[in-house]
Amino acid sequence: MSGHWRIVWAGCFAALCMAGCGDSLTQVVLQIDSNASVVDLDTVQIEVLGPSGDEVVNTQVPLTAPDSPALPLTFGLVLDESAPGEQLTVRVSSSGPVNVAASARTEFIRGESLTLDLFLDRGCIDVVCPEIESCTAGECANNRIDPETLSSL
Amino acid sequence: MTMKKLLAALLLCVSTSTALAQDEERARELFGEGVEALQNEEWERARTLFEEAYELAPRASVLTNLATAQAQSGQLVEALASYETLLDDPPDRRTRRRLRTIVRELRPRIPTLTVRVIGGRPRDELLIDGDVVAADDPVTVNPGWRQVEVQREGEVVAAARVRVDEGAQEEAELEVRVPTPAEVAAAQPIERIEAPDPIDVAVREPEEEEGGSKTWLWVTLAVVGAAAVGATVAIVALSGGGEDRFVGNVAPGTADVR
Repeated sequence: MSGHWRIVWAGCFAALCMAGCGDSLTQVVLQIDSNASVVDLDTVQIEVLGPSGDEVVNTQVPLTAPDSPALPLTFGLVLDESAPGEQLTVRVSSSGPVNVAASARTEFIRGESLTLDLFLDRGCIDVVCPEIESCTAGECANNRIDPETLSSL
Repeated sequence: MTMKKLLAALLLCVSTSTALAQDEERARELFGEGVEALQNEEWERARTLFEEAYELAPRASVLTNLATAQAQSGQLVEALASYETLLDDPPDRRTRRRLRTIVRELRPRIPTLTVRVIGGRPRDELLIDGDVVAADDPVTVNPGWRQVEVQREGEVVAAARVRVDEGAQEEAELEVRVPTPAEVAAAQPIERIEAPDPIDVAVREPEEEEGGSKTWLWVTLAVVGAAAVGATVAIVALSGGGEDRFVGNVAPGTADVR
């Protein structure tokens, strides 16, 4: 093989190697929506617990200020490579004139970007569910969601 | 037969007049409570009481008090409408003059709000406090915080509260939200880029001229390089790598989970 050909093949190998070395992101995108008015919700609190059970997000989002984000609220969660597991717990609640909450427990899937929807249902105003349940249409039900059922981003 | 019809008509008259009398009595009670509320400067309560009374007994005396309560509780648009209704059929010249003065003073106090929608679609609906209005046109509103929304097929896609002061000509911009992840995915599907088919490259033997050999070398380099780049893109597309971190509309948009 001549010197030129060595250069050609080395270049190809390097290009292919670079292609194969790209890491896929492991993330879950929260999408929070509601059929209640933003005036009633006023402020939405978002709490996220990671695989270790530690709180990784705890933020309050005012909905009625002039510069407030509009519904649906969206937030990206990226699993760190060093995370001890894939578990994810999300709780959202309003703290305005009406009290409504929703929660979900699911997992990241390594190398995939998924969307997790949480809905603050007007039918769930003042409905308080146990910790592992979430309210839908006024009824509490287990809030565990199989990550395989989550839609890809 | 005729007797029965007469009796039925009589019963109907009696029951109708009884209902009217009850309405009249209730309207009188509500009116009295409304006047008391006005005297105590409980404007909101007075307005509610006069509204109920006016539904039962739509008389000018009730509407005059309702208009006062509306104006005092900040419902200037409704107050103007009430005064204009009174002006349509004023009892006397003096009252007409007084009503005209009130209307003349009230009009400049009513603010307008012009909302410009950015990123909207033709069939989107703009609502101010739940009423559908035209974008880019001044809309008379009551002073205070106004709820502005853009609805798309019944779903709120943008919302904001806008403070409007008395007499102001407020302008606001409402940006339709960032597309949802599902919309982004639908709008930008990941295309699978296939690597180009292998191309047979005729390689000349070394006995050829030096210049010709170099030309073939560069052609070969270009083709193989293109194939390698194509393969790279294909591998990246198929493996799902190279995805951007999603940044949402809630600050800071994204977070690491450890």
